[in-house]
This record gives sequence, structure tokens and C-alpha cells, in this order.
Amino acid sequence: MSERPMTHEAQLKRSHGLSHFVSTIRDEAGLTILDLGGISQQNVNFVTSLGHRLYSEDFLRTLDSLTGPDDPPGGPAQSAEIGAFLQQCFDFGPGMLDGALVWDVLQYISRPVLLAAVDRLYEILRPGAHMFLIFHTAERPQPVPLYSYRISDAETLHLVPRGTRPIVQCFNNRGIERLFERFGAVKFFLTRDNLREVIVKR
Amino acid sequence: MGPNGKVHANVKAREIIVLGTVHGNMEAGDKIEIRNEAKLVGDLRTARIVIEDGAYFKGSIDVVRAETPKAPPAPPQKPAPSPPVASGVRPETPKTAVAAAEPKS
Repeated sequence: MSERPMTHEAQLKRSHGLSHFVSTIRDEAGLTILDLGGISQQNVNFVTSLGHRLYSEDFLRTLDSLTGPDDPPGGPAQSAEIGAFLQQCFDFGPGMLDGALVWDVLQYISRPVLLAAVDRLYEILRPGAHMFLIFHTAERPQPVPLYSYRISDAETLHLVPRGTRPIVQCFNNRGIERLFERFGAVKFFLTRDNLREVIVKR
Repeated sequence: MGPNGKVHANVKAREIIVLGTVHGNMEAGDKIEIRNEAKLVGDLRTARIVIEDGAYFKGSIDVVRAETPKAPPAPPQKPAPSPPVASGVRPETPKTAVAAAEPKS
């Protein structure tokens, strides 16, 4: 199977991971879904059309606002600042969320911020809830195309370019499984591009 | 709320258009519009929402679907008596229908 290169142009992408995520939130209305990719008309329309409440958070923008010039790539280094960042992004009670669209944001943060963020996600998702994540397949830290991921329909993503951004964390499948080992299940979806789609069940 | 406006309050109106900065919850009976330069932190409740690319928003969105009022049961229909039409005379076509069918020049 040949791989499609990542481009800097908007593109539509068939997403089995998204399709699986949607199947977990489709049958019940009134759920609370978190979108960490920042607000977009398409995602608001899609999630609210299913009868759900959408919480929108621009994870990377918040990260950049709290990252100082002396901090290493990927966010603040001091634990107090990491705590402040998590408080801003994940200001939810335990088990309050029924699903999360995490996209690829976890690859742009440093290891201490990443581990704290995953722990926090574990706390705020209710047992049985699902997350949809995307991981770039790059094997070393390097700039990659940064996209705004927008839901066109239940199985199609619209990738809108937002420039490039260096990834800080690289993962293979085993590394992703280890990252979410506290969670109930991790499921991978093969794609033809350089993006790996993952569903994680709390 | 204009581009230089800064509001720290809850807002309730029929229609709300935000170009500036708002910290507070907003409730609109009809529509909330968030323009691209807007910064908005709070929870929204509205029937419709329009979001431009570039806007910053942090909070929750509840889109309240307008409930369709239940129509009263229709009375049993009696067959309307056909108006007498003289042989060879075409019934008059309503003018609105004619106007809608005409192409715009």
C-alpha cells in the first residue's frame, strides 16, 4: 500500500478512526464532548447535531500562551506551571466527559506535560468513554504540517493547514499502548497517509 | 460587541454578534455570531451559531433546537365542490405562480 505524502493544502480524508468514535456517541443524546483542536463551525455543527454539548479548547494556543522563552520545546517545565496549564485546559470534574476529540495535540508537548495531560484525561473521562487521537508517523522530532481537523461527516475529516510545528514526542504503536496503559483499550486504524489514527477507551 | 469592546458579564439577547473580547456566558434566543477577531471565554446557549475561522473560544456550546409545536388534529376534510367551469375556458392561474416561473432578465 503506497503512502500519501502530507501536504500543505486542505484535503479531505476518509477516517475510520473518526467513524468508530462517532459510533460510540451516536446512539445517546445529551453527552458532553471535549474538542481540543480549537473551535470550528464544522465540529460544532456535527457534535451539536447529535444532540450533545461541545466543550471547545484550543490546547496548543493555551500551551503557547503559558510557555516562556526559557522553557524547553513543548511547554512549561516547572510543575506549578504545568499544573496551571492543565487547570486551564481540563477544568472538568472527575468522569464529567463522555468523549474527547484529542487530535494530534499530544505530540507537541514535552514528556512531563504529556504524562500529566494523559493522567488528567483519565480522571475527567467517565469509564467507557472514548478518545479519538491522531499521531504523526515521524520517527524523530521534526516539523510536520499542522492541521485544523474538521469533521465533514461521520467518516470524513477536512484537514485545513495551519502552517508547520515541530513534534516533540514520537511514538510507535507500542509506545502509544504504554502511554495509555491505564486505559481500558487502545485500537489502531491503518491509514494511507502519514497519520496514525487511534481510539482509546477509558 | 465591537472589535475594541471588552465585556466581563453574562449576556442575554435575541441575537449576539461578537467582534471583541467577552468573559461571560451568553444566551441567545436566535443566533450567536463569533467573528474572526473575537475572543470569547464562557458557555454559550443558542438556537444557531456562526463561527468564523480565527476566532478564539473556550467554553461549552449548547445548541437548543426549536421544538416544533404540535399541530392540532386536522378536521375531517370534506370534498370541496368543484366550481363550474365553462367548456373551453381555462381556469385562471394565480399571478404569484406565474411570476415565480418567469426567468429573471
